[in-house]
Amino acid sequence: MATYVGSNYRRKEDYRLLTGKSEFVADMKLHGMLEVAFVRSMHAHAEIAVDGTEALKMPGVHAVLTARDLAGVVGPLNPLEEFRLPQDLIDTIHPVLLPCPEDILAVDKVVYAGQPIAMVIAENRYLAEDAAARVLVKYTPLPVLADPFRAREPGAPPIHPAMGSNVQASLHVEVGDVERGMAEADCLLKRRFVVPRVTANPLETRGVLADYDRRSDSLTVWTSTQVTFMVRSNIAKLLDIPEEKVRVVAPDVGGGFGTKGGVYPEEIAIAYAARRLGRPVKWIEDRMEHMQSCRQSRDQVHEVEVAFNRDGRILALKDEFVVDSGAYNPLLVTCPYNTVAHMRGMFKIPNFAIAGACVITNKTPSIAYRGAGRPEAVFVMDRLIQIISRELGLDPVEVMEVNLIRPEEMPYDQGMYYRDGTKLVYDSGDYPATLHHALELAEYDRYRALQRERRSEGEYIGIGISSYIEGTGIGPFEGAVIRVDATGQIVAYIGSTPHGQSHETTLSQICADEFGVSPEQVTVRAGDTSLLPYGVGTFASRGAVTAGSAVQVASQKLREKMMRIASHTLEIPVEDLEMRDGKVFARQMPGRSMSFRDIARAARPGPNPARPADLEPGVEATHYFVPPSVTYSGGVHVAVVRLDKDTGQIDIIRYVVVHDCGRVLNPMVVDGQIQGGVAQGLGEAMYEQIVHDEQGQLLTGTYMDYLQPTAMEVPDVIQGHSTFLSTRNAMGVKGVGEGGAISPPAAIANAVSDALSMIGIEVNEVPVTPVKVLQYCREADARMRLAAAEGAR
Amino acid sequence: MQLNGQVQFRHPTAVIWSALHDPEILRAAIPGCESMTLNGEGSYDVVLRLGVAAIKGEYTGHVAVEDVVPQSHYLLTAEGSGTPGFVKVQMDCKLDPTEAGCRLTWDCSADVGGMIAGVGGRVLGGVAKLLAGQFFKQVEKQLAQVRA
Repeated sequence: MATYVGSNYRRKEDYRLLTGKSEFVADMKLHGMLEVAFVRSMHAHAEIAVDGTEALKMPGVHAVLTARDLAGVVGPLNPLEEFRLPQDLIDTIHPVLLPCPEDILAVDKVVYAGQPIAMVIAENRYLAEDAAARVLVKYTPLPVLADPFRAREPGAPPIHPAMGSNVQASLHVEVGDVERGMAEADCLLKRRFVVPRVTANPLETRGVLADYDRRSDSLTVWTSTQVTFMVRSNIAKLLDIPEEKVRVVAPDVGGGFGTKGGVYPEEIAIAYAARRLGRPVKWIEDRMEHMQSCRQSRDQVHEVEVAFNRDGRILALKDEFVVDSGAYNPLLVTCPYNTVAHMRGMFKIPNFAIAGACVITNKTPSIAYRGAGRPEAVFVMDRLIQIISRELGLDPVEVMEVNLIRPEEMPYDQGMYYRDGTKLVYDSGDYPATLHHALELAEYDRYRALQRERRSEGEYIGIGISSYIEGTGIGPFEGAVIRVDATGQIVAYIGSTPHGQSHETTLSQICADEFGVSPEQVTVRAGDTSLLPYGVGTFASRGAVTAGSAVQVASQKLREKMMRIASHTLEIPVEDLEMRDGKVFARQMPGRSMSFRDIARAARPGPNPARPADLEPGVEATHYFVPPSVTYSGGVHVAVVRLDKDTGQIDIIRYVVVHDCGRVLNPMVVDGQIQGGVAQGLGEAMYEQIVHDEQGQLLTGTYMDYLQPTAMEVPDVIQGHSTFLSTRNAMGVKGVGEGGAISPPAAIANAVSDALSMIGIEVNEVPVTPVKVLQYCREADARMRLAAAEGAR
Repeated sequence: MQLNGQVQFRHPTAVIWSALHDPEILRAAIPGCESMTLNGEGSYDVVLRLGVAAIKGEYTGHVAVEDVVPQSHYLLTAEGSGTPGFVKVQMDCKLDPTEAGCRLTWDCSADVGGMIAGVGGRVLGGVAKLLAGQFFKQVEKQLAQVRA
């Protein structure tokens, strides 16, 4: 009975967040707490000799730790188990994957500017910073490899000598027969596409506080993370202590976007320091550290060949791409495989060959960022659609339409594997309908007409379309324990760690519907490894699908158990009972009832329990949801823009998103996810780029250099929901976290290219900065003047 | 980073040449110079206190002057590092006599790293030119004082 699922239930988190009652790691203070400043490399590649003796003499300094102190005590970080490819996929595509462990503090040499070398632990951050300035690091610079194309050359010296090469991972996937497709097609074209390095910039930077309890010899670590369980298992493994002795808590987390979806050396180092010193130890990343050292993302270059017929039908696509992974690649091929799996999106492209390589360079290590390899794929595919349409003199909509998968072809098999090792088969959707819904909201025909009319007046209007498919709700699992306490309150304990996704609201809506109560009678507890034995985390648009389904099924199990207890006590068959408004009652005799509190009392352990003998004591049920495969969300973005010839700004006249995330749990929350995702995507499209110089030095270390859109630049997105239920979970939900961020770079690049189609401008690289727009407009003006002069003659 | 510039002096080449090789004058003229002492290897150990944008701090390092053609062409190399990062500079300086005195043409390549690159990079070129201007102005001022 869906009373709350699907409603705009007001976010439970907001009262706390808006009234200052929230608690982030930086807010926490423990008695006797020490603070840390890291000494970070100022060179991108150098041998180092570290001397902390002067720093240790500074007032208030408790310890200066370097790699020497960690040797033999704290192991290096290896790629996370959770991001390894499943064996059946490895056996199918035979990827190359070289081990590339990451030292917690640099040992003998540094491989990127910003790498932690030493940690100074002092009474407070001020003293720690002062002492960090006294740590002497002698650098002997080594040649820097900042360009992945140079780094991957066979003769290039390996940055990690044990690897023997800088190509850390490579993979190749082929579907159909590309050569034949190429041979049969009417037309062929080649292009190069560049999606630069960006950084997620959550409002809250990283932060870690670790507390060692001498009595139980155990650690509690509060960290701003998306993956508490992965942090726990790595702390236990690297410090060589039982997992039972480590509790990891993510309190309120101010955004992660993938950047906090991994385990960082600092988390291990702080945990170690707290244990070693027997004192609480805290580190809060400052924004400069964040820009330099927090893992970054994207950074792909694609060389593509596409073969198509005169009607726009694509017969074959061949792509070779290089990912600049930076100095370490903890997520292995997660992002590049996402690029591979999502490249063809909503389109039927029978012959497809794609090869990708992750190259190690002397730059900040890489990680996933909202979309995780998908925005890159969509950028390539949707630029191609537009380039093909221009080549053939067709409207891009026509080219999209001849290639779109039709609704009657669902479930559609793309003939390859997804990253979870299951077959890549789209579960549901009507892509032509989604496209047309978006075009309608964008008033496509009206703006096409306006574009023609205004162009003769020297105004450049462009329309850009982008579509995407997104595998969401990836496994391996997520769990929920649902319990009714002695006062009748329902508590849902989950392993998925929220950082802005509204878990407390949407999961309590799901739970409330199963029990027939108000969401206020449900407390959702998350972000703490002590709540339940297993958990994965919140990333890859997986929360609603995995944690949502776990909560739903666990609630159903518990409901059933409660009905049996009530049936036993009331001596009324279960079929004649109903659960509603916090009690179970006989349908025929509503007076005969038990409240949740009564049921909780009846279920308590003890002699002569008032529950069926075969039931375990307690009002509790657990479910681990294991998705059969991912669910495929999808959507279409349409951007209508006007180029400002004076400022080079791209004025967004209309930005439309029609999105299918299956059953919508809370429309307000989904709208927020889309709006926020679009904001980040527009940043990537128009402003954001992490730039390193040839020496691997970061040149964009401040918000003056790394420009992000503000409320001024982000329009209110016009949204439409199309609901095609997933067939892979009972509620029919699909993920929505990343969709908003996937398409804007492609939509904006298409719109700008479209505005300037008369001079053949192709925007095959983002960001389309104001400087570029100004150049384009000048070229276009010159061309238009010339054409007018010729016309006059 | 590549920078270059020219500066006019009202003194003859020989005077400017010796001033630019005079540790006393250099110490007083180098912006932010806290100390400058000759070390055994023919170069000077220096301590500088400088700010670029929001990044202020102390740099320790070395400065050396190497003559290519006496009285007209020398190379100045400097490197220093500190909490804000590191700087490595090679400056090619040529002196030509003019009617009013002489002209110094300098061509400089600089590597910067660490926080000053990331945070100050945007303004670094401007700041470097400003500092160079200050330096040459100070040299003239020092000369005037010596003469007075």
